[in-house]
Amino acid sequence: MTRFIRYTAILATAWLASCTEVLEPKPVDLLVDNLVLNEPNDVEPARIGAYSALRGMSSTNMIAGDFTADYIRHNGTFNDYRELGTKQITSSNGAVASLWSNMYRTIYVANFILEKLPQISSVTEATRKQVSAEMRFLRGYAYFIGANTFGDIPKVTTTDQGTNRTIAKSPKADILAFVLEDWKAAETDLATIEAGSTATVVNGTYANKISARAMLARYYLYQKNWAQAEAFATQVIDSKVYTLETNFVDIVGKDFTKESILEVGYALSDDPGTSAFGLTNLFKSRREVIPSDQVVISLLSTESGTRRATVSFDSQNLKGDDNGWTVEKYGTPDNDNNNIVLMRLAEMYLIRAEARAQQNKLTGTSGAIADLNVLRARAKAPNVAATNQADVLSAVERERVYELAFEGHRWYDLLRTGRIQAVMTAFSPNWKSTYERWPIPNGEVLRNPSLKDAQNPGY
Amino acid sequence: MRRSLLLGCLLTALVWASAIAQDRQVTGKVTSADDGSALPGVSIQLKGSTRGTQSDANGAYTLSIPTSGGTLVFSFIGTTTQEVEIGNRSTVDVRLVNDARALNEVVVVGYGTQQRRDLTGSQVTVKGDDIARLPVQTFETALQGRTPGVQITQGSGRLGSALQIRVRGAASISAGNEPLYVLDGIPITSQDVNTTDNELFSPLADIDPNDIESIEILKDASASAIYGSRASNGVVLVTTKRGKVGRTNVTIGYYTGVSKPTRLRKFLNAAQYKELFSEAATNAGYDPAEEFEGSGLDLNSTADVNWSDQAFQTGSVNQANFGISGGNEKTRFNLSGALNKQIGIVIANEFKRNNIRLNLDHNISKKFTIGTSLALTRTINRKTPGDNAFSNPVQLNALPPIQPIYDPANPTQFNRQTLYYNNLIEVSNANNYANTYRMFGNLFGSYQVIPGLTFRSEYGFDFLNLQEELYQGRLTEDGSPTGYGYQAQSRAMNWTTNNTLSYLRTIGNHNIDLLAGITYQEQNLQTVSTEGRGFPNDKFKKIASAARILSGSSTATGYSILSYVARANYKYRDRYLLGLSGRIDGSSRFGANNRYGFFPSVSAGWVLNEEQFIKDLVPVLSLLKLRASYGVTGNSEIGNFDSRGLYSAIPYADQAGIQPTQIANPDLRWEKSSQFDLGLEFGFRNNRVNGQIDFYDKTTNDLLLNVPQPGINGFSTIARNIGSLRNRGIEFSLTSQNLIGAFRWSTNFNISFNRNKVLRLDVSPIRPTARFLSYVTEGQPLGIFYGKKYLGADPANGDALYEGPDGKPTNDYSSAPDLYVGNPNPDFTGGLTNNFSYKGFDLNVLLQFVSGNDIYNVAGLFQSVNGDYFDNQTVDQMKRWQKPGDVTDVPQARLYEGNGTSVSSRWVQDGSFLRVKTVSLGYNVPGRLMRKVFAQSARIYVSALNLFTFTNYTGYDPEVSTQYANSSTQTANVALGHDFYTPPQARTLTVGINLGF
Repeated sequence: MTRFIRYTAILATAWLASCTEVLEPKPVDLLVDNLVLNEPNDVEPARIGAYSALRGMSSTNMIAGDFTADYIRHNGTFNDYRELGTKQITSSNGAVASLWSNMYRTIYVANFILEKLPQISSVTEATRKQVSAEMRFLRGYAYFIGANTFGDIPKVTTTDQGTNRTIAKSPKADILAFVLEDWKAAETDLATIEAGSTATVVNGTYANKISARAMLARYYLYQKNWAQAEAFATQVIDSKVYTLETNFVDIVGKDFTKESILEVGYALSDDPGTSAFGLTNLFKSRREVIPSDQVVISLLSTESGTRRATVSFDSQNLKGDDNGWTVEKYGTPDNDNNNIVLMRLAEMYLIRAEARAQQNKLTGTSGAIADLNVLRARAKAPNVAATNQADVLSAVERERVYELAFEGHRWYDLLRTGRIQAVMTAFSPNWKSTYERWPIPNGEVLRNPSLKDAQNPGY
Repeated sequence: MRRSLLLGCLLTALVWASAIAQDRQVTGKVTSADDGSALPGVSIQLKGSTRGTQSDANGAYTLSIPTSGGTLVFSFIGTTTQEVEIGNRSTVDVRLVNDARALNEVVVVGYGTQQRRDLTGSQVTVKGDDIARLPVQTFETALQGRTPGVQITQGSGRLGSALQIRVRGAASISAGNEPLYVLDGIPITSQDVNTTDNELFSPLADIDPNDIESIEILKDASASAIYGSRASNGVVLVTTKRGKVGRTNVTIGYYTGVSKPTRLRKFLNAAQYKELFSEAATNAGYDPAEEFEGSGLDLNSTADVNWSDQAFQTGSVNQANFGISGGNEKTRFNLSGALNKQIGIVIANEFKRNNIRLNLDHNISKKFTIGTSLALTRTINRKTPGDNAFSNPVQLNALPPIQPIYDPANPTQFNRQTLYYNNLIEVSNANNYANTYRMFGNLFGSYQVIPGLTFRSEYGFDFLNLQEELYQGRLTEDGSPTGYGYQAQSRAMNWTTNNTLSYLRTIGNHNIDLLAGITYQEQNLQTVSTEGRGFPNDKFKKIASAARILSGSSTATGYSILSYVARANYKYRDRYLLGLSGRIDGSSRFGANNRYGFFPSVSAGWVLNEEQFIKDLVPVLSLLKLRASYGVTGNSEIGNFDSRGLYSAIPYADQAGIQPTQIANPDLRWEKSSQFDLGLEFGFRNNRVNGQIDFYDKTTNDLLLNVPQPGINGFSTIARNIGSLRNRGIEFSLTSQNLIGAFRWSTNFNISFNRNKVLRLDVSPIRPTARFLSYVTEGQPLGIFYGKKYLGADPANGDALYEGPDGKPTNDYSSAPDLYVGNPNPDFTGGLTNNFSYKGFDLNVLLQFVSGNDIYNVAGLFQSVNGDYFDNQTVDQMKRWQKPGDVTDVPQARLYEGNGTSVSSRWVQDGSFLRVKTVSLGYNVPGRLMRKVFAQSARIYVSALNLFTFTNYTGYDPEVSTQYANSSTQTANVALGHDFYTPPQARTLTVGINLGF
């Protein structure tokens, strides 16, 4: 028995010696800093992680584009959506904070991979080039949405926490110049895709040369550089990597269609479910927001054609203020059809039509009307009847509603065309020009000394 | 198995009892030493035998003893036990001395024991006997009202619900605030590991209150610093009963009872509902019938249902337990077990516990002792859904009284067209079981190296295996359309070894007591879970039958602590006391730059009544002790990997991705509390009146906060040690034996005042959720209510009014500034116990009080909003404004218009209460009657728990803290005094019997 004591004493001494080791149990289902991204095998999951970050900002990206404008009516109980629906947006809105933090999370992850990649030896040059270009594509996308949503925002280019805590706003123009730099570089380095490729999931998920050009087409459209917008849209359309679906209803109900240029995917295993800002939940399960009467009327018009499938009606829902209509583009709660499409080929036709109309190229095979009629034909709707430039531009605006409703474009479209005041004042008595930008989230203003007193005007 | 065991014991007892041989008689009289009165009911036992009796009404007794004589042991409640050698006397009269409040009593302290008289720290003791027979699920509940300086709140009436225990106030904002629990020297898992909801249940329910010998709550730094980085929130030492030398005692007990909710809330009946909502619709310009119909309601319905009562039922409690203990000089044992079954006051809520424990001690030699404790428990809790679930039965109170409960046409027989989910369907179509299998054990050896020097080695474990089994049938809301099943297994394992050397020596007037040791603890928590949908029918409930497996997961986490402890106590001439203690803790949770922390304490005491000048001055003083202590303790209840830079797997559409999820902070460490304590203990007239008063000041620095940082960093928070808060207060307790003698009456009163204040936050004020009023900001107590101040209805037009920016009422909610509108922290808390005994009868009454705290009823946003939406309303909403000139605090009813429905002080109320916590009346059946049935003693009793509650709170029960708040530790710490469809406590009446053989 004294041996027992001796044994314990020896054990005790052994602990003394080995205590440092004893106190470092490894996290099991998490990885610590020094275990990540040091070998080539880590590059692929880290890259996927970056796309996942993009997915993280996608639903609030849609919310910014659709809920800030005249598409929705608040029908639920959550304050965030009440503010958006009744146009009384405040700097403490949860969606605002979420878009901001997820956008910068995407930027952080992209910066992180861009910084780490050169340090990993034995990664092939091709991989390094491709992944770096993808990161710049993603970072560009985040900044593009950021600048168009918030105006002037801080420009973060490293992962250094010390530096990043106090970065001040950069002018919107500087941010957009940075976006252009990223996207140009991405366009150069990204791999191209052969025409007629059937890998719709890969083509829609990962950035490639064509999707970079599609982004540039949108970029130039926003910049009112009509010639460049037309040129890039044409390149995308002519590449034949992406082709229009025959039936519009597939755009509503299916994931990764042939025309999907950038789409964030969910599988059943990571279904957005009832998570905060989950679009399926907001539109369908909770009916937190419903389509506004006027967007429903637009979508049901003859010009819209089969695009009326964007919304559906159920008289069971007719309670109180509810108009009974539901947005269908974000799938159903229990099925794997909740993807968010950030860009698809139809937008290229719309960009080119608008760019051509702005350059007064209205008719003929390379005229704006022809591009619009491509979409009308697919929607089994009558051809565009307009003849003068103003009417064609107006037709483009309407066509964007029919085609891209609830895909996160409306508010940005009204902003860049200067139609925002006219449209929104008619829509809501609460509208004011303040809402041409989202507020900087309240928390950011409090936490970042350089943003003190730098809240967007009116908030 | 248990039954045959009991039977066996009974038989053994019978054999012993009949073996008594009549030798000679001894008689005598027992009187009180204080006033000479006769003492009836005194237990008289022949030492080392089974022979015993009780004194009669005149204090007289007769007992047959062997001719050789022996020693008689006289014991009686409230007096010191006395042993008298018989010799060859035939009359033995005894005067029993009033118990000197157990001054020489040995109390358990960290890693050892000490005489109460020599304590220089502040700790509170509760005896196991005081709490053993209360119909509670978990022993902490039974401590309420008995523990000065320790506020114990049971937030909900769900069976087994976890309690909130604050030893000298909340010392943390984001880290844990619950004390460390140490069972027979081994720290145990005391926090729920469930994976299904925010409602926390107490893993301490696995300890049978009957097994507890004593509970010590260590409050000041001097008492607790030896537990180092885990002592800031206090330490609860639970000691279980061990066998004693002497005859084998067999006890069995049984109690049974019924329970009802303490308080219920009143809601509108059908007529009132129609009146209020028709008015609301009309006022808002709608046609009432149309609006009723729009929400699926029928204005002409003849139904009149009291939905809120449907959530409750008459519950029941039943417990049977046994204990066998005894032993000789060589080996002592205590074997016990119990079966406890309770049916809750909330529908479909059940709790069952079976447990068995064996504590064994054996002396290998005079110097070498070994021992073990082993306890096995199975606890089954059929849980009801959490506060914030539509399936929470209490939420039925939102259903309109004009909708019937039943619908014969529906396959469930229930009306499923109700405004909200008719969750009565769940009673037979859904279940959520938490099955815990728990094993506590320890093994120790103690060896006396040289006289005074003892080495003790202890090895202990605590295995907790929680199996959660949830099934939602196809007719339920969450299980529709094909059923939903969830299964999880969680295993928390704790391993501890303590190795200590202690040295005790008296040299002349000097007493020294030294302790040094090393301890190591490792905890590991593993969880596997899976869920599925698509069951062929509701009879198939296991995931194997699910057509679709929705998810499956396994995770693991853990931590380790390596520590060195030391303590030195020095006493000079029995009156000057000095204590030093320290602990070095190394924890895997701390950052690489701060892996080890040192936690010292110093204390001193002066036993003034030993001084001649005091003796001369105040001769009636039996105790006067002044003590002071100062020390530093820590709180390491932070996440296991908070200090590390982390990456997580991010599945992206079925592909494996990795994303950084946390930034490293290698400087991260424990929260640090510095506590000063000054105490005075006193006793008069041989301690018939005694008490103590303590003043303390506990300042906690380095508060761990998830510091929000600009989102542009990619992460919006980082864990850092900043911030500080302070608790200071006064505790006072007084015990008095008012009457001694045949009729005995003693009183204990305790009261505590604690003031909490956040001194420094360094981050923006914390608002856990927008729906709550809780707030954390510098200069205010934790969780102060901060929001718009509601001022009632405008007499002119019925608009809801708030205090505006200029201090004048305004109907513009958004312009009203946030103000401090309440404080959930009580001004004082305490208890008053009165014990009476006469002959065989004893009566115990415990009152508990909490005063000055506010409650915010979050559910008011739905149930008390003058008919804003079709949720049924509380009856007070009938006082709504109706015409100009009406002065009321309920605004005009306006359907959908949000008149006074936003978060404000409208639902803040005073939550003070006085509760008749326990009343227990017992009768000890006289020994001579009992011997006829071969029993030594018998006590029958009736008792009541939460008998009456006096409060101005109009909600369910004023002792409330919704676990809806538990989305994070921080929210749970901060969102104090919030009520949200929380079930009230149970009022339980029991009747029971205890037999001793």
